[in-house]
Amino acid sequence: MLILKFTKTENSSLVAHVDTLRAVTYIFRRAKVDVEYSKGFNPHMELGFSAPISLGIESVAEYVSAKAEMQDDILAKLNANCPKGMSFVALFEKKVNLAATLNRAEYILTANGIGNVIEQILAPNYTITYTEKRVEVSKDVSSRIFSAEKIDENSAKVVLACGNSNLRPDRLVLHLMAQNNLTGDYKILKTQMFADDIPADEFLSQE
Amino acid sequence: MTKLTDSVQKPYRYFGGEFNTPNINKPADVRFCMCVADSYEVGMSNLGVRILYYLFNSLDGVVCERCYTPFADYEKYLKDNNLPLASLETQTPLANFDFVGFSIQYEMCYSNIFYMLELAGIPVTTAERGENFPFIVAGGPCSVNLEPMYKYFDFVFVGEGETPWEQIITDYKKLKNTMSKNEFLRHVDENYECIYVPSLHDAVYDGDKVVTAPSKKVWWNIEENLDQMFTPQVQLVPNIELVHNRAVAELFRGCANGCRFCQAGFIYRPVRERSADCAFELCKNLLESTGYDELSLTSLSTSDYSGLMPLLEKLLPYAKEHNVQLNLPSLRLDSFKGDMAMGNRKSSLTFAPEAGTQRLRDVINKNITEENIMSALTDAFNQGYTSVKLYFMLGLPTETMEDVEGIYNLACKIKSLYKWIKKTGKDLRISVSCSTFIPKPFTPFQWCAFADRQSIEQKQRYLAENLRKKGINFSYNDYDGSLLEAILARGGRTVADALYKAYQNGARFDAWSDMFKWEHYQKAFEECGVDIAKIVGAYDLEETLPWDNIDIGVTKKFLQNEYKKAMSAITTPTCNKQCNGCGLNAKGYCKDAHGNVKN
Repeated sequence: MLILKFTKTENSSLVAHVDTLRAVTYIFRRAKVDVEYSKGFNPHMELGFSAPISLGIESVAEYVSAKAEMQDDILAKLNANCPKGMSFVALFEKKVNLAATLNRAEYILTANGIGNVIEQILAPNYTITYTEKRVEVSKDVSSRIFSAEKIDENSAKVVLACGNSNLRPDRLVLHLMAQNNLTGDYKILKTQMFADDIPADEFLSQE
Repeated sequence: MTKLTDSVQKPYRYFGGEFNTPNINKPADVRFCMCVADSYEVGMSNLGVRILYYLFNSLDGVVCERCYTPFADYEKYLKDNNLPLASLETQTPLANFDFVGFSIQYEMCYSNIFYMLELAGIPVTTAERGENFPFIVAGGPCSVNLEPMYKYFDFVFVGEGETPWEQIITDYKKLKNTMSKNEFLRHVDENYECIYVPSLHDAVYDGDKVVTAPSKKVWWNIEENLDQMFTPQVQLVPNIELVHNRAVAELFRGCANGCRFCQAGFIYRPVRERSADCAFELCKNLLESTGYDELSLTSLSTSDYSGLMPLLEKLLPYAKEHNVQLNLPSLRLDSFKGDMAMGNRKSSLTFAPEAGTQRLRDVINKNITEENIMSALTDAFNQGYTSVKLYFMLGLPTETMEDVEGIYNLACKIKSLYKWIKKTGKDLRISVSCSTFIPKPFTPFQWCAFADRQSIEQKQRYLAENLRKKGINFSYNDYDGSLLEAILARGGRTVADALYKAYQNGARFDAWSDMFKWEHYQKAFEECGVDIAKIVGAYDLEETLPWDNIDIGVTKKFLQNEYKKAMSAITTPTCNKQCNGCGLNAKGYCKDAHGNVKN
C-alpha cells in the first residue's frame, strides 16, 4: 500500500473533507496512477485518508493511502495534475490505517495577541465552550492538548489530539480569543502529524 | 480566510482554483467576466459558458474570468468587509472588466442579474452607466426575447457564439482606444447581424401590447459545422460537488422532432451532428483531462443521433476499462433500446410522454404512441429497471379533463405492465411529474394563452388524489412560478421597470422554489401598472410580437401553419423523414439529412 503526503493550502483549504476525497480520486485518474477499485455495487477507488480537518485550516501534512503499485515518478505525475493549493510532497510504502494511527497533529495558530495567552490552555481541566448544532457545549479538553508554546506575540505552536479523540483547533482558537477579548481574523496551519510521540514521516518510513 | 469559513457556507464557490483553469495571468488588454445569474453549482454545469470561457482564454491578449450569484451569507460577508462582487480567479471587481457578460439559460434568473450588478457597484441601467463601467452584455437561449430586460443590457448577442465572438473581441481590441463606449455599440450594432443594441432601436407599445417591434432585423447566429467549430477538449474540475459532477460531451445541436411546445427544438435548428469519430475523441479527451468517472452524452434527443451505435461501440469498452459510468439523457421513448444502457447500473429511467392521450400528443406533435411507450418499457423492465419517472405538462393548448385522466390511466397501465412482466417481487417505483406548460417565443404555441390558475390547480388536485391512491409519487410545479416564467418569456419592454422593482422588493433566486416569492412580483406589476392578463393571454396570429425583430431562420409562416395543424391535431413528421419547409432549407441550411453544412 502506498502512502502519500500532500498539502491542502490556499483555495484547497476551502474544500470540505468529503470533497477532498473526490478531488484526490480525480487527481489519481488524471495522472493515470492505477489504484484498485472496490468490487461492490458502486465501485470506488480504494483510498484511505488521515483524519479530516475543518474548513479553512491550511495543511502541509495530509496523508492518503492507496492500493497501488510503487512507481518512481509517481509524485511528479500526481503533481502535474493537482488543483491550486494541493501538491504531493512525500511517498511511503506501509500497510497502515491512517485515520486510526495518526492521532496527533501540530498546528501553528496566528491571531492578534494569541502568543501571549497560549499557555492558558495547559491549565488542568481546561474547558472550552463552542456551539454545535445550535447548542452551546462546554468540554474539558485537557487530555487532548499535548503541548503549547508561544512563537511570538501573535502566533503559537500547539500539538492536539486528532482522529477518534479529536480537538478542533479552530474551536480552541475561538474560545481562547473570546476569553481574552482578542479580535481580528485568525489563521491555522497544520504543520505535521504524529503517531503518538513519533512524527508521522518517521513512523511511515519504519518497516 | 478563517473568518470567511466560519460565516460563509462552501466558500470555495467564490474563489475557484479548479483544475484546468486556463492561464489567466497572461498579459491581456481585454478582460471579460463571464457570469451566470445562479449559484456556482448550477452555473458551472452550463455548457455554453464552458465553451466561451475556453474560447476567450484561447485568444491572444484576452483573459476571461467567471462570477456566479452569491448566497445571502456571502453577500453579508462582502458588505461587512466593504468588498464589491469580484471574479473568482483573480478577485477582480466586476466593475474593472471591459465586458461583463451574462449567459441567460432561463428567464427566472433576471432578478439575480440586478443582484449581482448592485453587489458589484454597477448601475443596472444602460443609461445610468453611460460612458463608464464595463459593457454589460447578454447571450444564451433567452436572447430570443430579452425585451423585458432591454434597459439593462448594452448589447445582446443572439444565437450561438462560437464563431462571431472572436471577431467582436478583436474589433474591441483594435477600437477601444479610439472609440467611446457608445461609438463601439454603434459599431457592433451596424456590423454584426447577430448583435442587438436595444438602446439604439425603439419599440412602440400600446399598453402592454407591442405595436412596432424594434427596427433592426437580428439574425440568430447558427454555427455550421460542429466538427470544425471551437470545442474545448477540457473541462474545469471543481473541488466541490456540482449539480452534475461529470464530463459532458455534446453530440449534436438541434432536434428533428419539432415538438410544438419546445423552444429549443425551433431555435437550435437545423440538426448539426458531430461525427462519431470526433465525438469519441471528445469523450476520451474530456475524461482524460478531468479524471471524471462519469460521462454524459448530451443533446436535445440523444437517441436520434445517427452516430450513436458506432460511438457506443467504441465508448462502452473504453468506459468499462476505465471505470466510467455512462449517462444518456434525453432519450425518446420511440427510439429507446434496452441495450443502449448496457453495462450500466439499471436503476431509474426517465421518459417524457408530455401528454396523457394520443389526441393531445398529436396536438403537441410529440410523435410517440402508447404502443411505443409500452414496448420501450417492456424492454426496460426486462433489462432490470425497477424505477420509472414520467414527465408531463398540464395546461397544454386544447387540453381537457379527459387528457388529464389519460395521465393517470397511462401511469396505472405502466404499473400493471411491470407487475405482469415481473410476476413477483416488489412493485415498480413510479413517479409522475407535471410541469405547467409555458408558451414560449418561436414555437407554434407562442400565440397560445397560459392556463389560468383555477384549471391548473383543479388538474393538479385530481392527479394528486388519484395517483397517490395508487401508490404513485406525484410532483408538480407551483402555479405562481410558472406564471412568472410565462410573463418573462413573452413579455415586452413594458415589464422592464417592474422586474427591477421586484428585485428591490426582495426577489432573488426565483428559479429556486424555496426562495421564490410571487408577492415581490405581484406588488411590482401592480405598482407599474403591468397588465399581466394581456401578456399571458392568447395572441392573435397576425398581431405584432415583441420579438418580431429576431430571425431564427424558421419562418413565422411555418410557425403559423404548425399552430393551425396543432388545433386540428394533425402531426408533422420528423425532419429526418422529409423536409417540412420550416425556412432553413431555403436559407441554404439542411441540405443533407445529417451534417447540414451550409452550401
